[in-house]
Amino acid sequence: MAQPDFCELINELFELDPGTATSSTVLKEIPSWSSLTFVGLIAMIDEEYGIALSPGVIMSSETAGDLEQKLQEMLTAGEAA
Amino acid sequence: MSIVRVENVRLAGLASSVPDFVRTVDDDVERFQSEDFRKIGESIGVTSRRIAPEGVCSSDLCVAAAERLLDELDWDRDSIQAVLFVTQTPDFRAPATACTLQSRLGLSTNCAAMDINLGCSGYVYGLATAAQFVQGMAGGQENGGRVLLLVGDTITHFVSPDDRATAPLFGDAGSATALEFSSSAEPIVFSLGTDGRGLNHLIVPAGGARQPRTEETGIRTARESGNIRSDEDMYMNGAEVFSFALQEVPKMVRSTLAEAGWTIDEVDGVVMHQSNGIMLKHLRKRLKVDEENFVIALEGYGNASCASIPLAMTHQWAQADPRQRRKLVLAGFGLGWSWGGAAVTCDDMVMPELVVYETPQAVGASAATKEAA
Repeated sequence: MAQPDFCELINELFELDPGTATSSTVLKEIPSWSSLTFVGLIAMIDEEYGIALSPGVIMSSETAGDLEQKLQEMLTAGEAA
Repeated sequence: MSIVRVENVRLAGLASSVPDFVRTVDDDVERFQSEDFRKIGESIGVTSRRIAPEGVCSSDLCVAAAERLLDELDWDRDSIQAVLFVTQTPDFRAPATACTLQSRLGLSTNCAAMDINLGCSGYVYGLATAAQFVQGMAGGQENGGRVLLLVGDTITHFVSPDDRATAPLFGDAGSATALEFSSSAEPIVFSLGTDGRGLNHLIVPAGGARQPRTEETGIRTARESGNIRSDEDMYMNGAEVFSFALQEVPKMVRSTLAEAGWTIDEVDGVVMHQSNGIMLKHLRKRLKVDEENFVIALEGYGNASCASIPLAMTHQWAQADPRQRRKLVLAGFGLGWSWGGAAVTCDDMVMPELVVYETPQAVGASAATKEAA
């Protein structure tokens, strides 16, 4: 599966202009961050990465980069298993 | 998953009912003083929902549905051998509401009655139990072993009007399903599972024996994200519910299909618990179900807890050839965590139009006074 650009997916989900989010963007500081976009984020990750993420993983990720790194680790662990 | 396979049982009919009170997104905008609720309503697929006023019980809604269904089926009430009631909002802490339903519906004293306490997964568990009663009671007799399954909740009575996670979403409804023995019925297959670790993500904490009601448990205070609720109100962590559903529902649907020997393409309708629009749309895509075969019936009703699946069936088919033969996959999932899938072939079913329960004037007036206070 081709790797999607995580920051671009974040832009789409939160209705930001392309190129707005970077790996150092703090997730909870995104203006449209809400319980609904939180759910949308879980859906997006499931769709793009095939990972049904526990909300705790998002809660413990400060930035978009932190979250992407955790996803990459899960994907690698999944391949190894 | 626990697999239950039942032979020679047919669904003879189904009726659903909703209360006559409506609450809309305009009410939410006013209550929360925030226009955000228009967008929230659009996302979750609920911009109005049915609310039972205080004094109207889930059993009242179910009786209205059952009366209508029994009239249309023209069943002799003495022929009904069991009445099962699935709810989390019983009339009394004791006795079981099903016992009162036996006499309210004028059923024979030779009738078994029991309550089942489950929420979003409750309709599927109720069907699995009812179908096995039919099988055991019929003694192979055509149209024997008749069972009435009543499934309903007035879950909004457990919802704080100032909790933005739950108030805009939930609605109330009741239903009645009639089952009987039929040697020509296709087998019904159920796939059931549970994970009790989900307890604290969707719960009404106080009011049971574990945490009895006290003066404090009834006091509404500010909680996470400024939501205001008491320990006697329902708490829901929507993200945890979604994450649980993503992990279990696709597996459950696949297991149900495999056990029934069906492919998703030959199914005429997938009816899931109507949790919310975001979740349902995602699950539909994930399971690759065609849009026209995937039932969404949230608008105008809200998430009606255990009654959402029968309500969605009435919404979808009562006016569109209800007697047609259809292969259906039903999928209940939610608090517990508890989940259940069913593969059932409906044929020649009696399905009256949605029953609107009229609140008796005295009850409505007293509820309106309380709400204004």
